[in-house]
Amino acid sequence: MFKGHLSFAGGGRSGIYFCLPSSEKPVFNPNMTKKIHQPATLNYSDIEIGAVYEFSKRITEAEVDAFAHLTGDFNPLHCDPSYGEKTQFHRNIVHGMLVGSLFSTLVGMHCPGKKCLYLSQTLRFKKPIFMGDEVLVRGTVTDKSDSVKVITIKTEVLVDQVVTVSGEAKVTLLEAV
Amino acid sequence: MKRLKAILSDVLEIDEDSINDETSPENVETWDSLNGLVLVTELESQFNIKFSMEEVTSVKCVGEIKKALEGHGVVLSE
Repeated sequence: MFKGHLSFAGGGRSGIYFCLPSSEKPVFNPNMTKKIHQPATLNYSDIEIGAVYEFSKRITEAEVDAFAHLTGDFNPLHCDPSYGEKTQFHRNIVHGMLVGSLFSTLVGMHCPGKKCLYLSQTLRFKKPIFMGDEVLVRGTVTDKSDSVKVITIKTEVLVDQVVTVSGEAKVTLLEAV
Repeated sequence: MKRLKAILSDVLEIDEDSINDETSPENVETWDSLNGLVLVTELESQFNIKFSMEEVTSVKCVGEIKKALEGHGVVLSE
């Protein structure tokens, strides 16, 4: 069922690679080699169906501003306070994709962490998140496909125990790292 | 077969009408190694089965996927 081989190996260099189509060579960015956080180093056999991985963080205005600059999404619903006040939310809301991007953190840093290769992610935005909200990012392992070593994770972001973003991630684990 | 075609169409982002027994990674550009992994997991999930590593590495086209599914007791109606 496969064509070609995975080509994301880092060639022994440490640092951060950008995700690119498999036909292109990974790009090494020497400016991003500073080690800020260490990801978990789980193996496929370490991860059990039903296991829960989670972390929490507070979404700040500075992060929303940075995300707007990073993506070019300066929609006033996120960036213009006077516009936000006039909406049904009565204030600005956080970009849904900023919150959704925390699922990348979940799989890249927590489960499985270092060896993660992100295959897919579905997203559903259920409720708005506001600047200053503390979010709990949770992943629950729902399935493992031993033949291809793919893990399926139910992904959720909760605010005050209410699911605001949900989805499903599929990840596999790199071998040669 | 309709259910299988729907899964293939969704994962590979191709028209269901273009899918036949000869459809394979050799003639579908989007059927790359990563989509191959997702396809295996979707087939396992949708048909409630688990493939062996040997099955995954030996299957080369849709016709062989059908045989593998039938080997797990899956009935594929037209």
